[in-house]
Amino acid sequence: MSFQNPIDKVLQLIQNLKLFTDIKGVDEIQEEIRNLLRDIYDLFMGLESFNRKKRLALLKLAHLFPKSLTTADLRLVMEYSDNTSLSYVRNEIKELEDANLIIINKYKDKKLPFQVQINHDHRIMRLLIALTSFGKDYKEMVKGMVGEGNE
Amino acid sequence: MSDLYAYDDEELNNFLKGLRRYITARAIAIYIIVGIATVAFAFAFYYLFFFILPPPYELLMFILLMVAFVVGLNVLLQRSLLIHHLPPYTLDIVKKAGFKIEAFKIYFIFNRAKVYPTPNTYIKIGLLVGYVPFTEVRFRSYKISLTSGKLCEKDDLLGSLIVQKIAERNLLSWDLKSDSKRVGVTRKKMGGLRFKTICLPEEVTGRLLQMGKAIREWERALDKVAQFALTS
Repeated sequence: MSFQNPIDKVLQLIQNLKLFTDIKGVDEIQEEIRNLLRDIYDLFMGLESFNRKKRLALLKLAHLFPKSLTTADLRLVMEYSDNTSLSYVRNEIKELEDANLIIINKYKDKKLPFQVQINHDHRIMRLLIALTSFGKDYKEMVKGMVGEGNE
Repeated sequence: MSDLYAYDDEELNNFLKGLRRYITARAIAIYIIVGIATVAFAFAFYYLFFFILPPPYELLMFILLMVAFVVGLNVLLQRSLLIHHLPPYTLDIVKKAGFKIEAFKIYFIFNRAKVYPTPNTYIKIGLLVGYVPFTEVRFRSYKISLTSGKLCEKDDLLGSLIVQKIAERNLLSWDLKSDSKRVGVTRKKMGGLRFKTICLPEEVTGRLLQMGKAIREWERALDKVAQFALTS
């Protein structure tokens, strides 16, 4: 049984279009698809380098985009217990902030909580947000989870 | 920490256990040194300089001074160990991930740990330990720092742009300010752009693979630029 590469199959189908029809710009489309797949690979490898809690934070923030979360909500979505201190959670996500993957809005008024949002200017995070469009049920579930936590 | 037990990977568990044992042994050694030094200092101070403290609060001042001495010496000793080192047996997991490890140079009792994803550029692995006394033995308080070798000069515009793009693509943070930390300590030449990341011990292998990938991309990018310069 030979291994059939699904990516090559799609690229071959596009190549066939070029061979049998007069469609222009096939090479550019192929290049775009290659870059996109390359970005998806980078995203996989990048996510793999974080531990489960940080992956959860990124995935759930991407599903909730453009909504931002407070640190208490984030503690909930990262599956920490209510006893975990908020400063510990903030410390955990600091690294994500350093790598520009999330934005933490801090207000001058210290009574207001921090608002954490995924950085939609980051190329790979934009891709992650785009990919979450396939996870409508999961999106609803996360929204429900955060909503319940606030009640 | 309950997370420690969430992993059933035996190698990873051994790595974490090894680190933990090492940190605990190191902390105990430091406490013994601090203890002996404090007693010696307290005796010397009590018999030689106690009379110079202001009269109504002399005992309070003496106690405060001793506490400051204990904390200060602890911080000093912990900080002075902030060189890039790891106990050698914990590096087995890195070896198994396929990295070439430089033969250890032993400084006092600490081993420098450098791995080479490519022959030209290294990654330094080091332990970062909390400095507050009695917190360093907690698993949460120590992290691992990974810093790549110097990639290019800070004011190299093309180089910094490429490094920034590669860091962004690999979800790595990169240290633009490494120069400024060294200014005035005659170590300025050690600055420059480098990938830098701080992670939890269980993330080390994934992060090393990621940084290795980024370094290979950087060297390939340099090669491409050089090829382009020659052909055009």
